[in-house]
Amino acid sequence: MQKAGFARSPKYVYNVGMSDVLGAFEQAVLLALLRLRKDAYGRAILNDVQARLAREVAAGAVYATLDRLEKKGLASSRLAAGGAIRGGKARRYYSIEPSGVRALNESRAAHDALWRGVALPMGGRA
Amino acid sequence: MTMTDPPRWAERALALILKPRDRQTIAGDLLEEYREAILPARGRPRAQLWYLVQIVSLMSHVQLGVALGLGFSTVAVLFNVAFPLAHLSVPEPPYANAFGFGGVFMLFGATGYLAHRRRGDVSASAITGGVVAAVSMFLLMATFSVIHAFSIRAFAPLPAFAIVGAFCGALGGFASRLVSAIR
Repeated sequence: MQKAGFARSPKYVYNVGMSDVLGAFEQAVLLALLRLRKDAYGRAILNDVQARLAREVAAGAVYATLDRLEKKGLASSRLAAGGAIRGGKARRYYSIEPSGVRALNESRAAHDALWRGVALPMGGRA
Repeated sequence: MTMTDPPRWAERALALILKPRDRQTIAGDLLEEYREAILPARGRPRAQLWYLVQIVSLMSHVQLGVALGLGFSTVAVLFNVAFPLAHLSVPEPPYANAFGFGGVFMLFGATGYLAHRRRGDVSASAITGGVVAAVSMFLLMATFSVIHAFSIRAFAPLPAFAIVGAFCGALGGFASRLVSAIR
């Protein structure tokens, strides 16, 4: 069992439990929150994630991820009034929490550690 | 309903599946995207299809199970009740029962596969498979009970079907996990 402090040390970053590493989609959503800042509401996040992943993404996947990130304490949300284009329906704006930024950093470090020492291009069929 | 809005029934269905917390915000996001981006780019029929796909993507695995169960039982009732009543003969292939049950079990497994793709959790697959089996078989048994003499004993196999559905759903979940691992 890894202790959080030990896992966060750059030297031992490869010891981060894989269950603690954010999934690719969670990272995409958190990075969208970072990029969009105060404009991060559902539709904008969905469009940003689609643009970055270069594919169509179902709204349900984004909202389920946002819900999960909020439950983990990595993101938070607040309500704001909506305009006429959305029939006056409220908007929910999301923002990344400091723990979310830490989780992104750890995921990136774990990812880099996995790739360390591998020279590209590899001799494959790619 | 105006030409720039999704169908009213689809908006009602969306409100039905969303949690109260998300009812306004997610419906507003989808409406905004529909009006500003999807409808101008794709036209009305494809925009409506997009809206329906979003609704399905927002369903929980239990809601998905209920919806698929209702869909399956409707098809089954059509073939077993409505067509015979309308004197429409449906040719019965050899080993029809074996194919029928095999198909049903594969359907339970497929729903489990789908649930795992959405949730990444085999328990969600088992629940979805079990719900599909319970809902569809309950409606089928209820239909046959109404047509024939009603008997509570007609529902006796229901728990067994739910367990088989959960098992097939879990198998579908494991298949999805295997496919993800290979990819």
